[in-house]
Amino acid sequence: MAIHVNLDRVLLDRDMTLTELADRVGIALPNLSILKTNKARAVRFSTLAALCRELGCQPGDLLEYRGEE
Amino acid sequence: MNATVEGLQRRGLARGLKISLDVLFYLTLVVAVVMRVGALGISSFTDYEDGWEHNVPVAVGEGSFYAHLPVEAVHDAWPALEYTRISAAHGRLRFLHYSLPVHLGRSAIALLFTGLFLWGLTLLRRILATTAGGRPFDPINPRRLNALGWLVLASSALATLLDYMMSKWTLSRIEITTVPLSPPMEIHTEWILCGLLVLVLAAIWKEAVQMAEEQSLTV
Repeated sequence: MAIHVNLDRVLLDRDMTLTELADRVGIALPNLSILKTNKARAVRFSTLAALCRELGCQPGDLLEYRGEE
Repeated sequence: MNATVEGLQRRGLARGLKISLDVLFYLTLVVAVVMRVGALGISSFTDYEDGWEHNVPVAVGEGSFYAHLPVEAVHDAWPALEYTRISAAHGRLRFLHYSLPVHLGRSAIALLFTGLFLWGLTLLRRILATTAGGRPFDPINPRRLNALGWLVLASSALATLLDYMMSKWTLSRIEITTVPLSPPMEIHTEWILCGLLVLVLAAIWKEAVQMAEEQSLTV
């Protein structure tokens, strides 16, 4: 996938676990895990907004374009 | 909560349908297979003196290809029956015979088609089982529907071919002096349409599986 999700790096910087983030954002842990492991095919804006709100970051901090791998 | 209730109601329908198909499957298995095999064994010895019924499609007159319609005669004068001139007709010839090989052969063909019917029912039951379990877009379901579509088409072709061959074989061995009969090729258009419909559904279902997978991986 050309878009890479840097969720694990941001979580490490904020010293937060995936489970905590899932509880705060209100998304099921398996779905967040799909996002973290770059298996997701699409992300809703509402999900992206909730993640940025709880992590205190910008979408660009979470998403990175790496071209076709 | 409403979505959950609706989901349970939808699955209840699938579950109900599956139970109906399960009943039909086991009923067919018992009545058609077990009783037919049992009756075959018994009748092969007990009905020998009375004979067994044989029926084959026959045609008289022009043409040898017919769509499977409940029309007994084709005529070119309408509407008064008194002026009707029958130029062609087709139907079934029924008579009693005493040939055990023919009786066994017909029973084997009937068992074959019962087996094909049970196979089709099994495919439908498995599709409904996944639907009742909340997984209607299981990736295997389009393959099952595809198999069902081809099964229906193949059964239709087989029925047409076997009927023709049986009719041809029978008419070559019996003497009918009054009316010249010929073996017709009966095309079961309703089966063909049904098979094609199922194949179209399978193609649509395959797309639906892709869309469901895409949706499940959308966070």
